[in-house]
Amino acid sequence: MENPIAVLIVALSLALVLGITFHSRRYTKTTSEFYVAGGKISWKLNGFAMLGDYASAATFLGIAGAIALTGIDGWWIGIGFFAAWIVLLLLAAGPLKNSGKFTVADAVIARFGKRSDLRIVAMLCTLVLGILYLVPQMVGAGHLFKLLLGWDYLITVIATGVLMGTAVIFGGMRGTTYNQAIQGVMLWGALMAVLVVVTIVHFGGNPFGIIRAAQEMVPPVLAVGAVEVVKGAENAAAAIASVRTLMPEAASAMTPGVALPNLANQISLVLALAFGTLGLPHILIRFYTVRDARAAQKGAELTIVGYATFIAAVFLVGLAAMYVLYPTLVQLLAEGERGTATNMALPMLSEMLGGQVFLGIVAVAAMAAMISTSTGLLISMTGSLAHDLYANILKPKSGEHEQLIFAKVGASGLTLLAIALSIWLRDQNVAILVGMCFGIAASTFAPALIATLWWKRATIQGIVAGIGVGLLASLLFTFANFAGAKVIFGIPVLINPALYSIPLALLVLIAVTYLTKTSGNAEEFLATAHRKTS
Amino acid sequence: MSKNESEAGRGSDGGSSEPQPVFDSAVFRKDLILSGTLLALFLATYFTAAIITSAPLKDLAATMVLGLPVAAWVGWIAIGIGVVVTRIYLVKIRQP
Repeated sequence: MENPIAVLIVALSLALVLGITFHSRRYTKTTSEFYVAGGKISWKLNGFAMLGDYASAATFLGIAGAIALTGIDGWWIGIGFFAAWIVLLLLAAGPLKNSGKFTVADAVIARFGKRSDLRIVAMLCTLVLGILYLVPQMVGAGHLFKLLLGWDYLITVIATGVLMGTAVIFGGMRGTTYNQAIQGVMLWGALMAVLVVVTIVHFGGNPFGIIRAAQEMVPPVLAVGAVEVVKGAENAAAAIASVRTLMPEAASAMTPGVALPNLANQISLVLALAFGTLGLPHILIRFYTVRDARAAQKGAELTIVGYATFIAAVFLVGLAAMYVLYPTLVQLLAEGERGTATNMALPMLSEMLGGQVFLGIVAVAAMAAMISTSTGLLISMTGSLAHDLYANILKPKSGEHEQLIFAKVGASGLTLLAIALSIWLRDQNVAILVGMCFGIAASTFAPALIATLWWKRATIQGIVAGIGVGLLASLLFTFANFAGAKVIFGIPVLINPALYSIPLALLVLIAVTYLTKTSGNAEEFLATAHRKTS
Repeated sequence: MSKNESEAGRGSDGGSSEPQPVFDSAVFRKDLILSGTLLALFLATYFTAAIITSAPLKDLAATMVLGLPVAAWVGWIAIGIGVVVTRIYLVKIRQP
């Protein structure tokens, strides 16, 4: 065994997850308990759970790694994730909780009445988003444990998938919430511990020293051509100095434009990230686990403050990783191991700072990020599958127990599907997959939700058309990007589809709304959604 | 709506015991102005920061202010404004 202490720490963490799941199994007998813990979760617990749910593998490993390779451009992914919470709090948290629904389709139907076309398009979006968001979590877990613990990728992905499915099927939302809350605290604590130790050991205890060092560094992605110089250097500082001497005019780690080459790409990415969370079902469902709108908003504030410090810190940790691991990162890139370099920078930094114990703690935190996000996704997907598909379309007169069985079977099926996709997509970049999900969510559910909660004139035809066009446009540009196309229909393909698909979805939503008149129970619904809670 | 659907996930505030609230356009407009203003303030900061740290303005982003480049400051300012906006919002919505 390569890292016995790290393995032991990971095993203890897994035992804790399973213990909480086992303990929570008695609280999953009704659909309300299974999906939303009966609405009895406290706002503090919910806030920590949202932090654990939201800080996925992309955040914990991906952003630190992206900064370590490209510098400040990588930070914008994190700032965008953070901005999404402000948008979510201001536009959706209170009104959505007040409306008392637990899928986006439910909220829309509460206003416009039952529509099978809406339920189908909403369910499709939920499942597409959920599965595509689940895959990078599993791919990340597979690579992490293959590299850190020497486990085989295939076995790791299957084991991770089974663990996620088990946690949801037996623990329901209550077990998931406790696991996510613990994992949120672990993630935050692990990142802060890395920041404190690296600042003391390498930068004399001054965090600003990290930024000053970054101004001298040529980002590893630009320094690949100087790999022989790097190999010949005595240490990281000497390697950095040698590369700068060789490339005096090259951009530094604080220079924008290394990863995002122009303004259109930058705006498209930050637009998708800011509005994408509004459409992510695994985040929205968390607002239904608390008592009222006030508790939902207070929980969101806790998440925002926790995430703000997390994102501010990850910037420094990513730059510190670039400095400390400079020769390793340049060599990995030169050898074509970009996936390892970009995803494993934080674990490698941790091992260098604190040996196996630190490595084990960071591995646990990374695994926690993947499992908590994945369980949140699974529970929202099963909710949509059982609620939107089974109870409202396939078998409207089904009983609660029957729906619950369908949900649990659905969770098993979705887990197997995600495992299969994760094996197939093992070489895909996880950050691209996550960014794609944000772009799709921002182009589909987000405009529909905003219109439902805030626009009295909005019609159901406009909302369905907006979701449909947004889904098609975002998928078209996303897969064009995957296929390596530079231009389609005379339009440049960007790193994220949002710059095209969000305005298009909005335009269609508004145009169709003005051509139709079915505004539903607008006044009644808006009165409920915007009522004051004590 | 089925019985199960109406029971599941509604929480305590979605039950039928409470009287149905009446739509008040003044209250709705107040909510809209509060959320809209704070959102506009935050998004202005966020997109300004994003534009400043884009490739075409990299020289501006590299300008040193108080010992650190503008690129670092604008990112932290966007995060700080987000936290402040959150606090203002939660204070304001508690006011009658």
